[in-house]
This record gives sequence, structure tokens and C-alpha cells, in this order.
Amino acid sequence: MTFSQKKKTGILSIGVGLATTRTKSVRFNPRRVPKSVNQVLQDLAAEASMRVSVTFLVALFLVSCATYVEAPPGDQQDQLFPSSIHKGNGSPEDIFQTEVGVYVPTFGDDLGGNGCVSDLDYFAQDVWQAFMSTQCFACHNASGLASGTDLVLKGASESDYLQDNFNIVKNISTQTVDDVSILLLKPTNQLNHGGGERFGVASSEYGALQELLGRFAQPTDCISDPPIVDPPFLDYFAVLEQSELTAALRKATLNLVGRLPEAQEVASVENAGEDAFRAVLENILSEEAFFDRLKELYNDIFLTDRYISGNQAANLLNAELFPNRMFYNDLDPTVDDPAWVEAAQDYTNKSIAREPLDLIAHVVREGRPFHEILTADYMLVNPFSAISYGFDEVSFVDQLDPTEFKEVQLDTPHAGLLSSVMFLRRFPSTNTNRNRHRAYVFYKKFLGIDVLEFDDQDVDPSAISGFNPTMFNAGCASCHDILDPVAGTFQNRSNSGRYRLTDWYVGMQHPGIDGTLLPMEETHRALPWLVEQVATDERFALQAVRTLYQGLTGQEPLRVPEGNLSPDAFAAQMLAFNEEAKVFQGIKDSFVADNYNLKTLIKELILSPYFRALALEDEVESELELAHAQTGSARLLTPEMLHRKMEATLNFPWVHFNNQRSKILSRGDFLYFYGGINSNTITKRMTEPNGIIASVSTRMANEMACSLTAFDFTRDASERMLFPYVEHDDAPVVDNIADPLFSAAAKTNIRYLFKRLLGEDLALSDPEVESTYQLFNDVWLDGQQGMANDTYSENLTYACRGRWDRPSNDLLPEELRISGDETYSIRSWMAVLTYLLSDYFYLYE
Amino acid sequence: MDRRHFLKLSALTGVGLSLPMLPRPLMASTEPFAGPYVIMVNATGGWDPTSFCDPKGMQSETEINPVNTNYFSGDIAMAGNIPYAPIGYNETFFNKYHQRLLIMNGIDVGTSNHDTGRQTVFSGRGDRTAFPSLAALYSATQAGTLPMSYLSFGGYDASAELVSPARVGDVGDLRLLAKPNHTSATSSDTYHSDYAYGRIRQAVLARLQRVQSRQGLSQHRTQSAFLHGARLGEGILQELNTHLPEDLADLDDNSVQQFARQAQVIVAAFKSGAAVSANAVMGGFDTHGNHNNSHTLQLSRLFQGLDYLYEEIDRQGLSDLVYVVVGSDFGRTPYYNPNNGKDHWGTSSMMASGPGITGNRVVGASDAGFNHLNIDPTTLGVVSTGGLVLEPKHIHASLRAKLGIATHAHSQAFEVFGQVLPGLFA
Repeated sequence: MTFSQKKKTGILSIGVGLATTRTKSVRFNPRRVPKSVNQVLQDLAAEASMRVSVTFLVALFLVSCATYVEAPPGDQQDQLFPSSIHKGNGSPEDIFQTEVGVYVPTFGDDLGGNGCVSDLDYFAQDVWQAFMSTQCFACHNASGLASGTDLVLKGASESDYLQDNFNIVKNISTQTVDDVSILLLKPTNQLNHGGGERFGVASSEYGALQELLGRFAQPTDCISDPPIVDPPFLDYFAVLEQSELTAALRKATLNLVGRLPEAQEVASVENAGEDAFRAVLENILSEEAFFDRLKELYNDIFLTDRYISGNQAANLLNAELFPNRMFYNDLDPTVDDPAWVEAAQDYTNKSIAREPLDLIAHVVREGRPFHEILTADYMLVNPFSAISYGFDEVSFVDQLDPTEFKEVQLDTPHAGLLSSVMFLRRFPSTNTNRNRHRAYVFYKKFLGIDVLEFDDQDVDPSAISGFNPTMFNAGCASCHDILDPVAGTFQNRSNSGRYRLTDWYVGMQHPGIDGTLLPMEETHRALPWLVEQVATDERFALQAVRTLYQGLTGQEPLRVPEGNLSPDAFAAQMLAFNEEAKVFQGIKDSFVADNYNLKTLIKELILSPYFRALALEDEVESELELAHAQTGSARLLTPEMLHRKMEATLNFPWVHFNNQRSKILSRGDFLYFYGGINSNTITKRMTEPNGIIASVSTRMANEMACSLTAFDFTRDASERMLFPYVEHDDAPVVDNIADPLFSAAAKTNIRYLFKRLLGEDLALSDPEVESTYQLFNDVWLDGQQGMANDTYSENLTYACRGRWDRPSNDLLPEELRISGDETYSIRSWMAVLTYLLSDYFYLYE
Repeated sequence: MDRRHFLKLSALTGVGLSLPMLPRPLMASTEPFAGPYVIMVNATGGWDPTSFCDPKGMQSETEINPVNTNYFSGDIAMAGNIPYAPIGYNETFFNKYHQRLLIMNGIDVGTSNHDTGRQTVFSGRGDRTAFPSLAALYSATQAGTLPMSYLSFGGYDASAELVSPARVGDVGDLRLLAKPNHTSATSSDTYHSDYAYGRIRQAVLARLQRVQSRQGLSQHRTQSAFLHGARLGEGILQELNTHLPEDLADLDDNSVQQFARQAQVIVAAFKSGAAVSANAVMGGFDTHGNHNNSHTLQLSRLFQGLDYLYEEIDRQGLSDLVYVVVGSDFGRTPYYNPNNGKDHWGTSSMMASGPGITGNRVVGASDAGFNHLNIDPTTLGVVSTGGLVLEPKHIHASLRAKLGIATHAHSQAFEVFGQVLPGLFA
């Protein structure tokens, strides 16, 4: 093996052979919307259904080669254009304020009178929206499989797309065979159609095309053709109350770096508002904990932590190419540094396993364009993995620091994550799969396209016995036409991820993507070529927004409404989908404009209503409330997030004190019960509580209250985390003498706990404070009675005594220990602490 | 936003949606469920029915490209009316349980994609996002508000948010969770007095109700309602604990042991009335290499596990109350690849048993090339012309009918569009 160092970048290479922010809520103003909210929603849905392109058509189909996405069953026209919205009064108030270039259908009674439907309206509703936008446009677009035909349609993001498509279809309809338009012959496959039979002659689609042809022949003469009008004005987010910036800061710091905001950060935001908030966020996004969070978030996508234990990752490296992959097995602690020997296996395996995730963190840390996660012409090694990969001569500042990374190059082409052995192993191929699964993963995880959703046809196994069905069987080709070209760009990677030069299968689609073919001279570096095609693709940037949105809020991006929905439900869902799409587009634009800076994307997400939404304002129309059903985040914290929240708010997490093993993160304890994943057999987090999750949280609250309450009182009041305003033997009545000051002190402490644990800043007189004090008092009173009749001991349960330092578990000095609870106050405060740690706002963010 | 999200809101706000389904109740029920119960056994990875219930052995050692190379067709054995491949644990299993087993062969899964196949086999449809598994659907129609109504150890457990699946990790820790106020599963020491624990619980539930009544986000109200429901059912774990065997399964083979422990918890959950349905899972069937050895071993483990499951069902006295449906992503090719493995194949089999299902039967068939054959929907016999291709949608439609949930609003909302085969589960 040989390796060299790139002078400019410090990259080493090794030869291995061919191996829109809102700070103040604004009340919804009905005067700005002359129609009822319901009617406006329906109108918006109609508009939105035309603009489904924004995320659906553009993101899924614009440049891709899909063939079909299922439309909602039932009478789609009724859903998309409910009859009620055909009944506007045509008054001047119906002319809404402007936004450029969006088609809003007009309806017979509005402008045309007497129910007249113009040809363009008919095309828009009954042809384009009903089926052509999915069944035809998927291939018949500028980048699609049918881009070389005479029928190349425009996507909805393009200006005047409906009018232009109307004209395009009209023009092509004049081509006939035996006097029958190819508009009828092609999709029914009566004339050879590359996409096979899309529908039959008895179908509603065929009937719609027949009527359209009739209209082409005899144009409908309505009073006026529908104009391109502007959508109704409605500030969708005006009905939301958004959290104060300081509250958003707490949520952001807990989410991103697992801590509470520092006092000066809060003060800065309080004094200087949003600009300061962005500055504070910028600093937060430079903390090491953030990069850990980023890796955790992306592991939910790539699941490479599957290999993090033992030798699993090192084992996956090719022993012939990397003979030192498990070098640590040969270390001798009597010769080598014992500390290094002890750490070597764990650090080595982790760094190999996490190479894809570390690359993501590295790109963001270094402020590089985020698409470098795909285009990086290097890989990362730390002092441990460097040896495994054979980069023995790379120098590190600290040979024991697993967080120190260097960029190095093998002498095989790099393509960021895609060329990582861990990524390729996590998504392996077979001789018959031929990298198709990798292509599927590439589309889904990097471009946000689930190719399987394009497949509307069940595959009949008896029908796949013909010659080369993936190319010539329509049922197979509907997905394979999309997947196989990209699969071919993985040709330099074997099933196990090893680089190779090979003749790619001639019986598959030519390697490429979106109709662009891989040039022959690039075949030795097909993956780098692939990522060069998509690095600045809008779909990549938009998918980054979606991924971070889901990672930060726990919410899945909305989908186009489907199913038999009522007009109201459809309108609301469509509105919500469309508004979310607009916000994502805006964030994506900011992200791209800042040279794909992921920190910018995150900041915009955090300042968006989807992160900060606090409540809907009073008296919001039910339809609008319906549309906002998924707005904002209400996430059951993941085990990892709950673990960090305990560290942040209680100063230490839920652990076995004898070995410090986390109970919520350990597979041998409650990780799975609490909905966690192992990146292997369990890959999807649970997002809703059940009886078991509730029991785990109850046990956590009980154990933490037990471990912390007496312990906290062993400290000086000024150093206490939980009870700085009371003493352990303070009580409402002590020695039969009522303490007139106790109630106020206790409530002050309760108020403090609400703020610290739940982020709720309550007044001392707030009913929640009073209710919590009542809990304390009731338990305390019961305790007095119990101790009086010897039912209860005057001592604490052994495990709950203040005998041990937390979390070290070292015994405290005798004089500091608290074992007794003669006033029953400690146990009463334990009840309060259990209550608050069980709270919805502790378990959710 | 899809329809399942609207379930939440409609339940929450009372907004009248003309959805063909019932909104999911947000309040939990603690009324024990008396059955019948459903277990869906997921043999994940794609099993090879020709290695057990749809046997196709070699004609001779000289046969070119035989379906299987590890047994001869002449050695195919019968357990009652059920033929089986003479390998692995098949003989023991089929001879022991053939009287209760319905074998469905020649099923056209319609895909060779793992995710789609898994969804199709266990939900009836593979073309809709997150279509609920039969176990989830059944749970939702019967007692979805039980706090662990749908118990899942993995596999295909999408619920379309009709119910919240409860996931179980180390079975031993269930005992600890069953006693959340005790310092250990075996200690009498408690963190709080009984009074204090009850008072805390009362306060927690009251606070959750206050959160639900706040004007805040719909999501907060909905999720807090879910948490409220989950908390109401915490105590049911104690009941489950009383039905768990003293000694958890301790077997030599770790895979079988894990499955056996799943079986113990699932049956105990049924026995206690805490669960309506469950997913049990065993992986390792995706044998693209070294098929004969690896797949036979894994099938042996599965059948040993199923043996344990049936014994546990019988031991707990639930033999007449539990439906067991066993399936896998799809089948495997009727030939070997260059790695002596078998790749994905759209023809597969399923097995079922339960109250009212006549066992000792094989319905459907495949030809010598492991392609599905059509069957008559009435007689269920193989036909050379006409008839229908047996698909998961027919099986699920028929199962739904058998379980009495075919006309439930949830079933109609998640229609499989399959013809009910009246004789299938009779």
C-alpha cells in the first residue's frame, strides 16, 4: 500500500489497488377574507390542488421518471373541486389579492354563467388534475423517460403551465392514425406506448380525453375564458400564537445541544430580540453536542449505528485490503500505552461505523456546502480508524482523541456517504438485486422520492417469466425504469461495498439519472458522476429541509391528501400541505442562497411557526383549526432526548449508580420499552405513548425523585438544583407550631420547579402552583397521621436517603447525610418531584 | 397530512368529518378483553415455502436446476393432509399440529420488495402508505383503548394510528415495570406510601385533563389525551405480571429463546385481558447465500418457536380463543443463484389456525416452477381456467370476515378490496 498527502487540502490518499419568521402573533382578520373561512379554505384547496406541484409534482416527478402516483379513490373531481365552491356570487369581493401566476379555476356560475365550463377549466379539472398530472407527466416531462417524444408537459412550478399544457395536448391531438388521435391510442396502448397501457377504452380517463378532443374540435364559447387570477388572501399562520423567543430558546437548546440556555443567552435574546436569537443559535450550532445531535438525527435516516458495537464495523472492512482493520487485537498493554490499548477497540469500531455520520458533522462543522456529504472526494479517519485503513503516517494532535478527524483519500473514487463502506453495507446489494435497493435508498433518502409509491400495479410473478421483465414488462418497468439507471451508477461497488471495475449488465437500463446517461469515460467513477448531477438539485436541498424538519420537530412532513375525504377535510388538508410546502420552499431557498449552509436551514426551521407554534388563538374557525391539526411540534421525547433533558434539568440522567449505565438508553433496560431503536431490527421510533411507555416514565419519575430529593437537601441552598427555597425539615407545622412563612416559600420553590423542569413561567398565584402545593400538603398531612400511628417510619426508604453523592455514588461525609424525615417534608417533596417528572410537558417538547 | 391524523383531530374537536370511519377514542379502557385474540407471526426476510409446506424436491440427482437440492420429491412426507419437506424440524412440527393448521399455498404476494411484501402479507395491501396490519386493525375494532391493546415485538406493525402499538424489550424488565412504586421487582420497599402514590397519580391525571382543555395546539391536546389514556392503563401490567410464567424461557438456541419469551408475554397479555392482538417476529430468512443450510436452520427455529407458542397457548387455556397467522415477506426463487442462495420470489404461503378454522387442510397450490395456480373461489380447488389468483387481499378480506370486523368502520376505511372466500377460514 502507498499513500500520499494532498498538499492544498491536507488530504491523504492511500493506494489499495482496485479494491419566514414571526415574533408576534397576529389575529386572524375576517374582514380581510370576505367569504366565510370555510369557503376560502375550499377555494384555497382548489388553488392548492392546482399547485400540488410545489412539493408533490416538483419534488416527486419534475425530473424523475415515475410513471404513476395513485390518485385518491372515489370521485376525485368532487374532492378537489367540491360543489360548494362552484357557487360563489361573483361579487367584486371575490377578486382576491394577488400572488403571481397561480391558476385558480373559475366555476360556471362565477364567470361563465349558466354552468358553462371553459375548455381550459375542463382540461385543468377533468384531465390534468384528474390523471394527466400523475399518469402522464411522470414520464412526459423535460427530464422524464418520455422527454424525447412530442409530448413534453410542463410542471406546475413553471409559469403558465396549464395554458401551455393545454396547447401542447391540443397540438399533439392532431396526430392521428386511421383518423383516431394518438391522444387516445397511446395511453391505451392501441398504438405502441413506452409506458404501456395506462388505462382502457372504457375508463373515465379515456372518456375525459374524448370529451377534450370534442372541445378541441368545437371550442366552448363561454362568456369569457377563465382568467389567470390570484389566490385568495389568507395569512394562514396569523391564527397562531407563537412562543416567546426565550421559550423558543429553551426548546432549541434542549433539542439541539441537550442543555438549558445560559442566563446571558436569555438576557441577550430578551434585550435584542430575533437578531440576538440568531446569534445565540449560531453559537449553539457550533457546540460539539450539536454535532452529536446531528449524527443522532441522521442515524435515524441511515441507521449505520447498527455496527457500532464490538467488532461489527471493523469486521465489515475487507481483510485483504485492510489487513490492519482490527489492529487492536495485536496490541500488548505491557508494551503499548495501556490507556490507548483499552480504548482502541471501542474507538476504532465506533469511528469506522460512524464514518458516514461523522462526515455529515464534519461538513457542517467546517461550514462547507451541505451537498459535500455526497461530493466529498475524501473520507474521514481519526487516530484509531486511520490505522485500520492503513493511514499509519497521518499525524494527529492527540493520538488518544477519537474526535480528531483528518480527511484522507483512498485511491478509489470517493462520493461522500455513497462510497462509505458502512453505507454500502447497511444498504447491501446482491447479484440479482444489482444495486437497485441502493438506488431506491438514494432516491428516498437524498432526493425525497419514494419510487415504490409510483408503482400502481401489482406484480404478477407468473408474468415475470418473460424475457428481461425489468425492461420489457410494464408492471416491472414502472419502477425499474427509474431505479435501474441509478443502480447502474453504483456499478463500481460490489455487494459488500468494495470498489471494482466491471462490465455493467447490458440487460439493464443504461446507467444515469433523470435521462442523463453516464458517459463511458466516467464509468470508473460512476458514483462521483452521479452525485455531481444532483448536488445542486432542488430535490436534494428540499429533502434536507424535510429531514431536519422531522428530526427537530418529530413531525413527518405532510402528504398530499388521500382517501375518501369530505370536501371540508380535503380542503383543510390541502391547505395545510400547501402552506407547509411554501414554508419549506422558503427555507430551502435560504439554505441554497447561503451556499447550502445547514446551520442556516436549521435556524430558519427553528424560527418558523412549525417549531414555535404555541397555540391557536381563540375563536378560530373549526375549518382552520382542522387545517392546523399538525402544526407545531408535540413530540414524545425520544429516549435520547429524555436522557439529555434529565441531564440538563436534574444535573444527571437516569442511571444505574453502580456503573453509570443509562436506564433509558440501555437495550438491557428500557430503551425498547420506551420506543427507542437499535438501527438494526428496530428502526422506527415510537411516537405515541402506551401503557408500557407510561409505566417506564412513572418508574423514572419515582426513581429520580427518590435519588435526588434528599440528596439535593444535603447541599447548601445556594448549590441546590431543585430545592433552593426550602429546607428539608421545613414544614407547614413544626412541633405543633404553624410556620406562617412556609406556604410562600414552598410555592416559590414550586414555581421554580415549574420553570426549571417544565419551562413554564407561572405566577405565584397560578392555580397550577396552588394545585401542586395542595399535593405537597395532602401527602404531608397523611405523613403526619402515618407517623403518629407508627404506620410510617421517621426514616426514609434506604434507597431514597441522602447518603450518596450523585451521580458518582460515592458515600457522602457522615455529617452531610440525610436519612431521617421526621417532618415528612422530604417525602412530600418527593411526591411533588414525581408529579412534575411525570408531567406531559416534561415528557414532551 | 393523511387521514389518520384527522382521526385525532376529529376525536379531539368533534369536527364532523365525513370519513367512513370512527374516530379513535382518546380515553383508555381498562376493561379486560376476553378474546378472541390474534397473533401475527412475522418470519421476516422472505421464507421459502418449498422448504416446508409447499414442498418441491429434486426428481433425481441429475436434475438440472432443481427447485431444491436438499431433498428428493419422493421423500416428501405427509402429516395428515399436509405435505411437508422432510428437512429440519418440519416432521415434528407438522405431525404435532397438522390438525389445527390451515396451509395456504400459491399466494401471489405481487412484489419482491421486502417492505412492500411485508406490508401486503400482514395488512392485505401494499400500495398504500402505512396501511394497518390486521393485528392493529383488529385491536382497534375490539379494544383499541386498552393501554397495550396491540403488543408488538417488531415485524410489520403499522397501525395507521388507529392504535398505539406497545413494544416490549427484555421480558424480565416487565416485572419491574409492573411494580413502578417498588424499589425492585422483588422488594416490598416502595418509593412512596400507598396514599402518596395514589395522590400523585390522581394529580397527574387531573393535570393531564387540564392540559387537554387548554386552548393550545391541537397536537398538544391530542398527545396529552393519548398520554392520559396510557396512564390509565399502567396498572394492567400488574395483571399481566401475574400471568407470566415464574421462569422465562431459557433455551439453548438464542433465536428460539427470544421467540419463546415473546410467546410467553403475548399469551400472558391475552390471559390477563391486557392485549387484543400481537406481533411476534423472527428474522433471518433472507438467504441470498448458502440457502440450504441457513434457511433450513431458520425454519427449524421458527417451528420450534411456534411449537413453544402453541404449547403456551394451550397451557394458559386459550386454545379456543387465539388465532395464529404466520407469514413472510414473500417466497424465494425456485432455483439457486451463484452463491447457492435463493432470491426473492412473489409466490408464497401462509399458515393459520384458530377457533372455527378447520385444520388439516391445504388451500391453493403452485406449479412445479413455483408459480401460483388459480383456485375456484367457492370450492377453493385448483382450476386450470378461470378462478382467481389467491392473494393476500383475499386472505385478509376473509380473515376480517372471520373475525367479524369486515363491516367495521375502520375496516371500511382501510379496505383491502379482496373477495371474501367463504370456505377459507371455515
